[in-house]
Amino acid sequence: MLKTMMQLAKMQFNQYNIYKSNFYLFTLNRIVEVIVYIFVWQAIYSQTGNAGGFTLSQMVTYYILAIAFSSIATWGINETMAHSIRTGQINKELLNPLTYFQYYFGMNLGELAFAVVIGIATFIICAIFWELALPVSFLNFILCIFIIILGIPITFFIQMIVGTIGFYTNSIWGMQIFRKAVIQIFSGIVAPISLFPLWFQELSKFLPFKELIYTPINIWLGQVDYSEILFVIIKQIIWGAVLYIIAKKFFNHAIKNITTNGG
Amino acid sequence: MAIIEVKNLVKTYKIIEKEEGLIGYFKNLVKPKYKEFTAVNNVNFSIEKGELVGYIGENGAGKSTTIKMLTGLLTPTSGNVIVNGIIPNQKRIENNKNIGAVFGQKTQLWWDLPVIESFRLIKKMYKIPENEYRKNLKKFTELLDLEELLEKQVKNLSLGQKMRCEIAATFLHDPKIVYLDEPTIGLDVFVKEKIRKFIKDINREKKTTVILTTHDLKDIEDVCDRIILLDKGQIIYDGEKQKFKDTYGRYVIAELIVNNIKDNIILNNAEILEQNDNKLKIKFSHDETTIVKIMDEISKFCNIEDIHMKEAELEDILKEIYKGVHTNVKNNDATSKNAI
Amino acid sequence: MQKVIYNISLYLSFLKISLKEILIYRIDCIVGIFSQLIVQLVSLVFMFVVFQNTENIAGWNFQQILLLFGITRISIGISGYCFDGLYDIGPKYIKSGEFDKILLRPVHPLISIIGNSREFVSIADFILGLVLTIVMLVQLAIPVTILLIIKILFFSIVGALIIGAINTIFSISSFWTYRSNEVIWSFYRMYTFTEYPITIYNKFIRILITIILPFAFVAYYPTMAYLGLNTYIIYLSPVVAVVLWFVAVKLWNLALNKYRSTGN
Repeated sequence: MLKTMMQLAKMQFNQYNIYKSNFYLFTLNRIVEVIVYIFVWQAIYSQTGNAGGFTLSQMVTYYILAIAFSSIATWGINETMAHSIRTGQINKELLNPLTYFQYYFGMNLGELAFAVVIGIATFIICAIFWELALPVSFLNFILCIFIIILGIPITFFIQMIVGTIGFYTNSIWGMQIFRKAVIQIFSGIVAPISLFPLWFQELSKFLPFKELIYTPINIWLGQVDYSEILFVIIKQIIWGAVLYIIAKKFFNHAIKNITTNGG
Repeated sequence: MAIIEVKNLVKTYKIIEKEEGLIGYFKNLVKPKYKEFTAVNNVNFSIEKGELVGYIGENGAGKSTTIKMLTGLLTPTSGNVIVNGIIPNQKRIENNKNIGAVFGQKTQLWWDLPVIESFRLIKKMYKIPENEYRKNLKKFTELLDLEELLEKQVKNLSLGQKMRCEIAATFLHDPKIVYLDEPTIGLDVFVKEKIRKFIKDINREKKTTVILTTHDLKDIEDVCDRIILLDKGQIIYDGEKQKFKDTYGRYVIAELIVNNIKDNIILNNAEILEQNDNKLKIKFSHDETTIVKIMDEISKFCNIEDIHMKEAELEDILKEIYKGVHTNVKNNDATSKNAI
Repeated sequence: MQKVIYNISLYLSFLKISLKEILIYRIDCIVGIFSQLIVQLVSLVFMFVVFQNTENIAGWNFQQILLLFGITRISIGISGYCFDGLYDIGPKYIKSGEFDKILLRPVHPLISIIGNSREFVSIADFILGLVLTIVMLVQLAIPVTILLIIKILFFSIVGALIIGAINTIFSISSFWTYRSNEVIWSFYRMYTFTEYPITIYNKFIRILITIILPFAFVAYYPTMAYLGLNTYIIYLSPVVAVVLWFVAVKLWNLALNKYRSTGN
């Protein structure tokens, strides 16, 4: 099964990689995004000298990492899945000797592998133009990566939930944009969570999104206690389990609908 | 024991009755009215390992619904389906390991990648041993002429090339049962023939059970030994193909080139299908008359220059059945089933 | 001149047909409009957070930035609705071979393609822009005169034309790749640079968005005029639009001829 998933991941990755233009354009998009954020903050620092406890170098690092990680947090297979439902391709995929979730998780990994490549390219190019803060320690670097990996099942199950909506509507395009916007705002891609109003910070403590971007970067910058990291790990595992149950239940319900009422 | 066992299978759909206009649209949203529709109505059959079965019927006769229940994609409303000792819709993944399926032009091949990549995925998915995979790949490449296609991206293949690859992909893991739902739709004659020959070859060698639904009766004629004929959700014939033809196709169509027509031609035991100045098309049954007698009769009205005879083909027979010529087919169902 | 008017009227009749087609997909539209607003929410959240930490960016306060954002959205809305067809050239028309059919029509292919635009959800951008603009004009105590309304309408259309021309130039990539929509979009997105005062950027980016891809003329210079910060550069906008379209059509024809002679 693991071998199958790796093969699926490899194929999904190759599917992207066939178009070299994908790599250049996606990287360009990331950089265009980061430019606005960074120049706006630079303007503010030149006026006030400080914002939310971050130094300018930390802030620049924050945004570059946020944009580099952003594809991992927001990309996924829900559009592929909805397309497969729309065209009836799902009937073929349901006849595979592995579950639908396993099949799509494999593809999701391939998608994320491409997101990692784009992230690294974005990071390297940005490092030429701006001075970046390095991770405070090797342990922090490892922990940062680990928290990001913990987020992968969470975003995957959300993708599956959104994709399953495709059983009920013609297009999940709107839902997908909604999902992306929620993650962008609550994960801290738009701005560090600590700069948001207090109620928002309280709310995001309990949601799993902050750990996709904000928390890993703060671990990189050395601004998180190790005890808090433990709490974060437990929180993510619980969220992963909860979202797995919801996604599975929802999908099984939808599939039951087609298996009793036809596709 | 039979590899596929279907007992009293029924599938009923609930369909929402659509109402016209905006008010009707909202009414439907709040409280939809349902209508029941029986797609498959008390179907029974069993299929042995290695059989080549044609599952035929008009559009909407319930063919695809049955196939979907056999593969576990649909849950039966009532009745039993047992495939290879498993109830497919309860143990879908388990069942999937033993089967292969082609659904029309839908392909499981990856659009942007070379064909061989999709084959490699199938190899891993079904855990096909390396030597087995090599052997099959080599043989399929030969039989379906895939040599030059394997390294091409799927999106660059023509429909015929794509379907050849799709068929190969379906048989790659040596499935015990293969469901082919319209595998030749939209293909040219050469590709169709290649695919038919491939199915027969693999069946002979590996005893693969094949269930084929198609609108091209040439497929059935070439490939299948047994046919199951479905009409409005019910089986109206189940038995050997040859026997079916013998029973309902005991007539001959003859085309005659004639001249000097004297009178209005009236024949006692044959039906005139077409007549013009020097051409005559007639139909008669072996039970009622012989060609010699007919010729004799015709020669009273004109001179016969040439004659060309054609046995009834499956397609002709089915056309007649649908038109209601053989009203007794349904009653024969029981006897023909007992005959197997 | 007559030819230009004829082409514009042709384009408008194409637009009317596509509008009718769109009304059929009402639900998709509502969802689309809703999600378009959500995307804007992301930008607005960023501005909101930024202004929690500062009074102004390069001398512009929150209301002024929001006015700039609103004016930008009006132009984006118009251009999104009118020029969306450009995104389809590669992935839709050329890929399916439909492009050859378009070439057989007795009108310039660009007219057919642009006239087939149907991005109805852009209406969300337009309305959001309109609302923000009106609210901010009132809050900033700028007298809303008839002249100002006409000015805003006129320069918003000019802005949309500038965006359309830039997208047309990048749509030339359709002749080389089916995925031209992504090429267009990647460069189009640079308009977001001009949602903030361009003085915050370094020289390179400033040259990029005023001369190379003159997005600054879409909303930034007009907004400066409405705010009374610079009343003259705004009149360069129509000139920029005309020059850009001239260049765009010339380049497009050149590329088309090359495409025709080499085939696909």
